[in-house]
Amino acid sequence: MGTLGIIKIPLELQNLIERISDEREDELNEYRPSDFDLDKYNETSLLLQFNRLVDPVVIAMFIGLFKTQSLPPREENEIEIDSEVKGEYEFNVDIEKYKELFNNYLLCLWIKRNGYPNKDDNIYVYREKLYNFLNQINNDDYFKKIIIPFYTKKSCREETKRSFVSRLEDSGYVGFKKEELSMASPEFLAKELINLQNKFWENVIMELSLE
Amino acid sequence: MKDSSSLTFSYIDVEGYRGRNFKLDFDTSKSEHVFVMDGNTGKTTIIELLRWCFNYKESNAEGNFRHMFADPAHVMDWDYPGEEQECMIEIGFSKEGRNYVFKRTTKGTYSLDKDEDEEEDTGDIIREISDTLEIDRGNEVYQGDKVNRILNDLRISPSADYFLFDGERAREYMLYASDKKEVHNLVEAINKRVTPRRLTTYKQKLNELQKRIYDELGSKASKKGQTRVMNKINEIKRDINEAEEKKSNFEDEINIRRRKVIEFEDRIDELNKKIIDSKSEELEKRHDLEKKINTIKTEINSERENIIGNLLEILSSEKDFNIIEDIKENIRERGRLPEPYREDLIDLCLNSDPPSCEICGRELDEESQEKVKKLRQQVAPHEIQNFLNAEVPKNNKKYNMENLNKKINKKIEEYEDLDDELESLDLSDKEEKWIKERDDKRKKLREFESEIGDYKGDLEAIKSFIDNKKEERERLEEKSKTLKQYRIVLDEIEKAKDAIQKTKDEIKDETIEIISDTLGESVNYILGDNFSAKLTEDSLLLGQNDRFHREVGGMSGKLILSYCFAESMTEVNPMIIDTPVGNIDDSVREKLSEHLITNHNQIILLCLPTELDYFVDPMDPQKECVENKEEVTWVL
Repeated sequence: MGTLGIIKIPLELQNLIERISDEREDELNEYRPSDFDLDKYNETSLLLQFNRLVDPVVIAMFIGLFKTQSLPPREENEIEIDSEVKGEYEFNVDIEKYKELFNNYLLCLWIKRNGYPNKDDNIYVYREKLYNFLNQINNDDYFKKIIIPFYTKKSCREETKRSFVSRLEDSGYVGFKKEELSMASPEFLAKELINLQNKFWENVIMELSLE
Repeated sequence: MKDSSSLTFSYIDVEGYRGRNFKLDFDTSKSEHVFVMDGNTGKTTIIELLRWCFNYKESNAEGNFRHMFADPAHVMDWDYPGEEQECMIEIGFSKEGRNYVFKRTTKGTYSLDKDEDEEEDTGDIIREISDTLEIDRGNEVYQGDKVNRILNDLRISPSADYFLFDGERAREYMLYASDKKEVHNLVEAINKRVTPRRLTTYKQKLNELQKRIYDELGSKASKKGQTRVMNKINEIKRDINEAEEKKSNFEDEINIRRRKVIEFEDRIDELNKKIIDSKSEELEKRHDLEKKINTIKTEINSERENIIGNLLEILSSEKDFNIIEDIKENIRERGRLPEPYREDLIDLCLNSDPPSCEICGRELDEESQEKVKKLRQQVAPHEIQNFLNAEVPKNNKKYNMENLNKKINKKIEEYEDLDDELESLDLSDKEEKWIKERDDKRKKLREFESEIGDYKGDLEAIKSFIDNKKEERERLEEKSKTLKQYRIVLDEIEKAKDAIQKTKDEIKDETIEIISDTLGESVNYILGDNFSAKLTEDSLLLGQNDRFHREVGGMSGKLILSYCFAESMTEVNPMIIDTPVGNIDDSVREKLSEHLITNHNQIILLCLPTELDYFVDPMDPQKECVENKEEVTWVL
């Protein structure tokens, strides 16, 4: 896949990446936040623990898939992404491993929606559809331009509570008392990620494994 | 009279240009050649073709032929529209003992298609124009634009507008000399003629050198420019001084805070010591609780850091990814997915010429080709095959988030209990004061550290600003030094240019005087004692009884003036003249004839039959008639 380069991401996610980038620079220059209550919070931002700046993007992408359990749009919908996904960031790293895992999930979801090849079906039509889909999701350009913006956008939009990405941004400094804890604590976010992943597995993977 | 160093034409051969086909041969042992040609038989075309060949280099020849005020005029033969034509003019001449043959060939057609305005023919469609100059029967051969450069060196090209003389040119000079608005054309021609080429070249070279220096400097190295650079340097120096002052302030602020930090740390240590030394049970308890609380906070932080650091890994662990691999195998089996190499085979079959089966060699008819094409849609590329066969990326770590959550929650409960206990401790006023002061000092300490961080940032920024400004100052100082050095060179260039200009002006004045004298003598000889002529930098006037005026001389006198002007301007000796007598009075013709014979080593006249009386006859040369193709245009 090579390095990602400039990709479109929601503004919320762009803010989070920029915040981590700033905090890394501050750490390097030994800056400390001045409006800070030492007794109440941890001293250095927990977000510094992300190995790479792209990690939150990958997490947001999976959250979007687990939450919506929907297939990606066809290429024509790119215009919609252009108008809805306003942020962007340049990453000089690759995410090959996670792209492969993501595409495996997408394949399972596609089989869940379209079924396994069946003896009674026209196998030629089925193969053509399947290959078209796999060709599309394995295309690097499509992955960068459609898949990443589409699914990260889904992780930034919540109707009843603050979005996962927004809460992740707040998880840098977290208090130690129960009343101070919000849904932004790392332990809560990790639990939420695992729950969403479990639901996806239950609804998609496990059901397919039984067929 | 004959001078072998002078330019002498030996023949002019025209084939096809504007439908003309004839050859004019000149006996080089004789001075005068008279060709008698009737009206509209090609006299003007010869003169104009010669001017075209001498004035325009090969790459600039297309579209620059002029005929009888038509500009541009066609060169191809319009009697053969649409046909491929190859026209040729060959001019033989000698100069300074060397023989030259100039040849211009033009390939193309004449088109009858109408132009954009639908009024005229599109005319010439030129495909190729090529020039060749052969010296001493092939000893040296030149082609392309180089040919014109040699003609220029031989002074033929710069003289083409003068020694090739016809009614049109005569009228032009008369108009320039008579019309105040047009006199500038004459002035430009005179300037061009009287300015020594070598001096112009030197001046050009000096200008180029000057431009190169300007380009290198990026300015004209003027005093104003130098002052600007100096002002800029001073401005930068002021900026650096101000920045150094700021830098020093930042360093002071940092030092003040560092001293404060040390002071506060000492005070906190002192307070902690007091608290320990007080032996107060409550204080000791508090001290222990604080230690425990800090330990728990560190533990919670560590767990949380661990969670964030491994959040991404959760995605590729925890689950049994073999299930997905089973699903993929299921797809492959149920879908009976073809092998990947088939695609190469299909491509080979379809791309062979003619398309044929790569296995059995049978040629594929259209129906078979369609079937093979459909088959291609059933084939997955290697990338897809690899994807379907590949294992799911995973790691073997297991994160028991449930336990981790429980662990953190337990520690949070412990923290809350310890915090409650800490709050409930009953300390004396003095102890409360110590604790408060210590906590305040810790907070303030944190603020100082934060401020030190901020000042450090500002300090780095100002250091970088100073470094940049210093670099800019050094660059400008270097530029100022270079400017000063180059200024000396530029001043010398200006001096040399002035000297060249002065010399040019002097030569120009002298040349104009000489030309004017020659012109005067010629006019005086032809028109009679009471006539004279005067050439100045901005006028050409005929004089009668020492009265010089634009209106002196009538048509005949003005024509003679034009003749004499052209003669005095040419730098080559021969004259080729179209319709030489025209409107010149019979009384003057004989004198003109004598004048031309005396002053030129070769006179080529293209005459109308009516011009022979009083003009050609006194010369008594052999007269030739000229034939165009098979048709005789005029017979004497």
